[in-house]
Amino acid sequence: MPQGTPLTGAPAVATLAGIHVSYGQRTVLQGLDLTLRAGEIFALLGRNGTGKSTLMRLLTGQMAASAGEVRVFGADPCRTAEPRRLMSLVPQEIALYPRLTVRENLEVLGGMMGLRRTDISRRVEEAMILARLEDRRDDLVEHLSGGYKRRANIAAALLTRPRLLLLDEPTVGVDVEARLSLHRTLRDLRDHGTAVLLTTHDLDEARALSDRVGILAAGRLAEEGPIGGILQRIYGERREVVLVLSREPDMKKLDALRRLGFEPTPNPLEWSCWVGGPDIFGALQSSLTRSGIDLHEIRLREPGLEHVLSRVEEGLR
Amino acid sequence: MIVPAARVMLLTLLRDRGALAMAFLLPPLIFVIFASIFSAAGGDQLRLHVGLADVARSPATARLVQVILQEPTLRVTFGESAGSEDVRRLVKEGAVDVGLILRGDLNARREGAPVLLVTHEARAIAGAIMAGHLQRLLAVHMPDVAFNQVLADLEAVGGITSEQRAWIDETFREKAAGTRDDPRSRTIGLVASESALPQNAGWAVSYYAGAVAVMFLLLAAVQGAVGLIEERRLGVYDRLLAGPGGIAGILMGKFLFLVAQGTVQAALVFATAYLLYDVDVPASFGSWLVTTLAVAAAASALALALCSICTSRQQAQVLSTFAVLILSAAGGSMVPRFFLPPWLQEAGWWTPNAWSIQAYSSALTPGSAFASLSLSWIVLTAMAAGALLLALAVSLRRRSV
Repeated sequence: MPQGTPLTGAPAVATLAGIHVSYGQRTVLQGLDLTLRAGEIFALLGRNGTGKSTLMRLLTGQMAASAGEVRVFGADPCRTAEPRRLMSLVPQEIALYPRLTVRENLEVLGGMMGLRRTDISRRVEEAMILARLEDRRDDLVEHLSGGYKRRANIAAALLTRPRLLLLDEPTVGVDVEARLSLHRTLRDLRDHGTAVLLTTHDLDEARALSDRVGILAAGRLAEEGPIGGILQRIYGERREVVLVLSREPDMKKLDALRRLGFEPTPNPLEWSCWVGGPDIFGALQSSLTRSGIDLHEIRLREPGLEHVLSRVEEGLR
Repeated sequence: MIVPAARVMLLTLLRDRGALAMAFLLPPLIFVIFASIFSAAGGDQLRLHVGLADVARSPATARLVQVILQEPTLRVTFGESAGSEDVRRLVKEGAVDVGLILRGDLNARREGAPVLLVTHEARAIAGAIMAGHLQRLLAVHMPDVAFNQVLADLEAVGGITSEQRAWIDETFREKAAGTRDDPRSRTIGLVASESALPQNAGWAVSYYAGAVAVMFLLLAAVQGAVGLIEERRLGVYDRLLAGPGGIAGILMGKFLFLVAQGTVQAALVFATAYLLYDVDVPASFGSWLVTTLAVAAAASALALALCSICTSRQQAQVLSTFAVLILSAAGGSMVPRFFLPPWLQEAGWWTPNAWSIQAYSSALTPGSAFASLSLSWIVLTAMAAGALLLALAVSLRRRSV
């Protein structure tokens, strides 16, 4: 399935409507609406304390909303255990027994999750294949690298063949190779019809992995949809251009850069500005050449999460 | 480097209120409790629990009954119609520390001493202490009885001449020497002693086998139960609560393992007692096994409840160590409970230790009443169920996502 394709026709596995949640005097969610559909990866973005974990707890039935309705597989997860049979959580921590091997961990956790003894071996093999852990099955978890620990953490959640998989920052502290491997695993699951909800602080990850993203701000989903559409709404045709200079500019060239709209970055050789238009590079290059600025490199930079969140919050004010 | 390291420890302690309270409030509390226990054990507050039966029903024994009932240093279980067997049963079951059977008129000369002291091997020292009490009570409150004994002795020897005086002195010296070696057979002409159990050196050891077993079962169970806190910290609880698994399953699995571990530990203690001290476990194996399962269940559930309450490993280790020490001291695992002040003896019945010791004593004593043994089993099982429910309730409240 092409990434970013809206799944309006796929069945909804979870819906949250008009959710309000407060902790004492502090309101965390106010009027949040969200629908998760089968076969999609939904990335939840937001600053710390904006309610990402609260949203997870609502979905798993570990807390009730002050107001609003939560339905997971058609039922209220606070009132019945049925939705929990169809979902799994991958906690941010490595929720495994460090002195057990990968296989032993999956076996005991499968048992704790209520799998039948006759099914456990098969499910463990299946989960290890999905998480690409076959060659580490007999390693103690405490001896695994960070990436393999993350994979084992996810494999444990796959034992019950969940139709809704919740992941709380699943790739924190993972190297690029392990991250790509985890992404492949999650896409495989998505392609088999599993709904995947993950929280992340990494916009690149959301861009690379998710079909839709939601940006939590001011207690609700301030932005929701395919990442390309959201960035288009926020930035339009404007892009951040980064200049890398060959040498530090003198006063005259500094003035020229500022006149062209460039701002310094922490790196004295790097300057950036937001520009729009059909031929960004062509127009810029001629201006820069006229000003006698020696360029080493000129490139477009994708916006970072911090910048996106700032723009979203500005839009809400 | 030194100051920052100390600062880290200080801040960590200050911010863990549970650990802070345990570090500074529990020590004086523990001191007060232990001071109560051990000052009573070594001081003059010892109040023996005596089972009393007046079988002779003579005016002199009736007076002695009244004297004993009014004696503030004794706690007396006395029934007007109680007989010798009732007293022996109470001693055997551990319901009283020592038994006293007034079986003959104190002023009459007859075969055997009119007062019979019934002791239990596991509380042999209680017999010696009671014999001392009797001597004092008779001398202070009933000197006529003691004098009559002397007169009777004089009459028996037919008057006093200087040669006779020398002979009497010699005779009393021999009597005194004969009784010094065996406190249980000591007599002042009035008191004889018997054991409630068949002669076997193992009875005394069996008390301590039970007392030590339950204490170490508690300690070992706590070490195992600390894993609960790790699982909570690692997020295993969150994983299970979000999916089809449940905390009840984890708790029950841990509970069953700890019961099995405790059973093996108790078996090792009693096997040693059997091999080295002739504690006859095989003769009562069935009762011993049920008792051990009940004791292990109570210890395991209590350990799980303690660890569920704590929020950090540090809290669990400190709290459980203090809890095990207090339960063991108040429940009789460190010193027999009759050494404790009466209020602490009563409080001891709220500990698994007291019921475990009672259960092992009944299980290993031939001819013990099943009612006494089954009551101990019921109480221990109820403690296990209550503590397990508490652990479950607290664990469900503590889920951390």
